[in-house]
Amino acid sequence: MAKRPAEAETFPKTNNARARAAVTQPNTGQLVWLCVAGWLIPGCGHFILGKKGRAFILGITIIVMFLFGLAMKGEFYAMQSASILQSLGCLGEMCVGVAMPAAKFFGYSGGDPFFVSADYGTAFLVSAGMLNVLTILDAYDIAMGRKP
Amino acid sequence: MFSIHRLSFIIHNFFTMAITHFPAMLLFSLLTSVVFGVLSKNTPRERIIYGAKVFVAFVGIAILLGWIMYPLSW
Repeated sequence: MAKRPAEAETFPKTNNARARAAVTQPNTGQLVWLCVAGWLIPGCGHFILGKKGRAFILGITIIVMFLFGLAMKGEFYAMQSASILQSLGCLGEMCVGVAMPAAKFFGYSGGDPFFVSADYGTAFLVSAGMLNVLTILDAYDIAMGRKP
Repeated sequence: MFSIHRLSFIIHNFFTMAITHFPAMLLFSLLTSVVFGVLSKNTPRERIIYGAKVFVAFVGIAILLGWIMYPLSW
């Protein structure tokens, strides 16, 4: 078998990868819509990209974590708060998307700080938001072609 | 008849969970390791193995830190 030159072995693969990335990269509006959809409904970004299995697992896990936080009567922080940590906690809880306003709509008053599991519940609520942020960033990376 | 008020009543009075620290930690570790496994790896087998490693690390390190802090009085 004849030996191929070194350049021919490397350049075609690189050019193909660049061409593939140039064709599949979405525009800014699509990326923004992807991130907003992923924020509103956990896992929706992956669902839009066709990764239905991942979307289902991520969405269910984050929603279940949020529901456990409600069951443990975790606290909903207020944005206007004297403590910056509480304001950041509010941002974290809002990162779950429509789950927080939906809970308020169904009458969740914001938790009971004297309940035995309330602190754990608050941690679950904020962590669900943070995990959704990771999920949104993962969907963005998949859309940009950085990972499969 | 279904109504928002009845659903709120059911949620408030029957959907509560009073648990101690250890089961809360196990639950948190399980849910977090599932998400980490799905996001970090590409094949189902790799995701399961990595998720299991993350879960064991979460629980193991928490127990280890608990024992380290046990003799401390403050």
